[in-house]
Amino acid sequence: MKRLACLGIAVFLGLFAFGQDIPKIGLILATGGLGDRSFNDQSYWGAERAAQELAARYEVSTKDVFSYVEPRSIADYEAFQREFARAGEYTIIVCIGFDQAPILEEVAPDYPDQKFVVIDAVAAADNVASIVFNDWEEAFLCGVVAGMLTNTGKVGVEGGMDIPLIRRFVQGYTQGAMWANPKITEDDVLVRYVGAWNNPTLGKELALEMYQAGADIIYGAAGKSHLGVFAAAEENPAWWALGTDVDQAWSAPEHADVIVASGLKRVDLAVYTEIMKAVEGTWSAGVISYGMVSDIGIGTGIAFGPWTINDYITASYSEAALPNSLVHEILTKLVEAVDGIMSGSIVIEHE
Amino acid sequence: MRWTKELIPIAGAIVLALGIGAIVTALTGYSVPAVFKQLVIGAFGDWYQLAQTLTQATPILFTSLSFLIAFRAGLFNIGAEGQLYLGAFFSAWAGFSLRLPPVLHTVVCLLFGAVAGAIWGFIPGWLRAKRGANEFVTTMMLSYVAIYLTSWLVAPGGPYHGTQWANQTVRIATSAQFPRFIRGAQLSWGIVVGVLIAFIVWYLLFRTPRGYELRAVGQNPLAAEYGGINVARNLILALVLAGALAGLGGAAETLGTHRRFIENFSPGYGWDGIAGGLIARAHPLGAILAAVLMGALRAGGQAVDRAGVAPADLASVIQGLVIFFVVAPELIRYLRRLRRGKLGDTEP
Repeated sequence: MKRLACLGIAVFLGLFAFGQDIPKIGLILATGGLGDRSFNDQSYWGAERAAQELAARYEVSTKDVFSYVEPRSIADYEAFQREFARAGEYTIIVCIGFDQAPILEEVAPDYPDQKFVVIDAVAAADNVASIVFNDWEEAFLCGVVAGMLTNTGKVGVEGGMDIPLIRRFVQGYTQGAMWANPKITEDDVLVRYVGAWNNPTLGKELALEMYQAGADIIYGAAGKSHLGVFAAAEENPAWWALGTDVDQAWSAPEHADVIVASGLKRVDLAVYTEIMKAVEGTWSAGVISYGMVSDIGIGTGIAFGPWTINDYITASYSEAALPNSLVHEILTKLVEAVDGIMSGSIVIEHE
Repeated sequence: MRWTKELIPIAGAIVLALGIGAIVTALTGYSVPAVFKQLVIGAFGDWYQLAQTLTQATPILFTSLSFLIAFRAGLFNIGAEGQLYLGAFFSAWAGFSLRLPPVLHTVVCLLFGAVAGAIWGFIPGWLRAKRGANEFVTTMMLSYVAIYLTSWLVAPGGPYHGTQWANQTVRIATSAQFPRFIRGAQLSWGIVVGVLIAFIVWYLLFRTPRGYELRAVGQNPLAAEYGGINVARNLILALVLAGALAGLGGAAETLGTHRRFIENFSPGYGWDGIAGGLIARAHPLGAILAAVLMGALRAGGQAVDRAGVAPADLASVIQGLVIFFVVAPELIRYLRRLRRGKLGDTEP
């Protein structure tokens, strides 16, 4: 009798759990946090888009299918990864940022049934999908714009940290500028590293240093820190800036007058796709690359000018006052660069 | 009897703080029951959550002890944060550089952490005793030096940047690690060591002549000097001990919680120690309870954040309110006593 009752309860609970089987998304952002109008915000939008679709499908509110946290330090990652995984209610846990990978490699095997995604790095575990981007491609295109636009013959780039991921941006940018403008040598590309993803004040100081050293256009690849590049560019009408990962003239509209173009890295697309694959049951672990020459074939590009030309060169909300002829000239060069990268006639060296 | 007399106002202050926290939660448009339910579940919900609370409590226990031992000698050590960082880094260094048998390795790492913290306490102690430099300023300023120094050590280009991309050292050897209690939880033997040290500090302060001298200097330095106590030496000793305790806290974080040194690993444990020491009424055993309270608020805050019932900031507000209500009366009492020129001794 007792056994029967237990069975009955188990079946009831099983049915109950089945009836409640609404997918749920967990998102652990990088230490830069929301409000960077770039990498983190874009990751959030990707997850939010998936959450809204799921909320509509199951007729619940977005909050019921989506939770996110903003860790303050790398040291918080482990606790949050475990907190989400242990809850056991998340269809997929999305970890943003390369620096989550080392600890995820240790945490993921403890929860073999939990699906994880990590962006920008490879975590070797059987239940982790690692998404990497050809960052050098977006950086190369930004370099092309910088090389064509500069009057001083000097261009700058501000990275978040002196690490392989960011050096790839610098390498791509440098080659792009030299390819578009033969007068530019490697010495004409000024490079500064902020050392943090969330320090716009220092980001501005370092940008001013480069502008005053003669660079008239600076590319920011430093998370929230390079919002300081835009602020610095506002101080002189001859100074321009380039954004990263998302059209920052749109995401940081108060600086649309100085942001000429932005490199694109469709983190939102990758996050959205991984979530939906997990929900539909087509998700698998492993490494997936995004970019022009990659597994997916799209995912990097540039936002420049008033028109969308193709998958890689899209319209920007930039309000920078450039003569039409120059915009046409740059767009032509960008098309040439994209064709070159796709056909393999342009090979971007990177670590 | 004394215990209840101390505990009732603290409990009252916590209830009051939670009440105001509830009002703030409601006014900002979040569900009060949902937030408080998550706070409690996150702190005490099951074994794992309890382990999270104790994990967070471990460094706070050490920094609380650090604060209160200096406080007993009439000093404000507000540099525990920096001492914690140095202790964490140097114990990590000993953890990945030295090759020693298991238990011995852990002990050596703890010593490295304690000595690093102690040196960082000695400098302001010496400056205070010999030059009259206000330790309030020197401990805080040296704190920044320590935090940025350790950041540099593990930053790209720094000498101890690990093989991976993140700003952290490589992992310490298994022989140096504190064993963990539950698979998957970060809780380690650090908490046991912490409690043990709390008892040692209690014994030192209240059962040894050395502790008597420290407290005498704290209550009235002139009278102590008249009584033949070397005030300068005791001031230095108090800050050296304070630094060593905070350094041990950093070592416990490295050896148990993270198993490596990570840049910016502390969300302000050094500052929590000030609140913890004051909540404990500067009593070493009270510090155990105070640290668990603060750890519970932090662990609960993380659960609130993860469950998405309210932003993490709201959990921080509730934490802040609790600290404020519990600590403020004690601080006011302390300042009043300070103005009257004497510090009453509250211990048995």
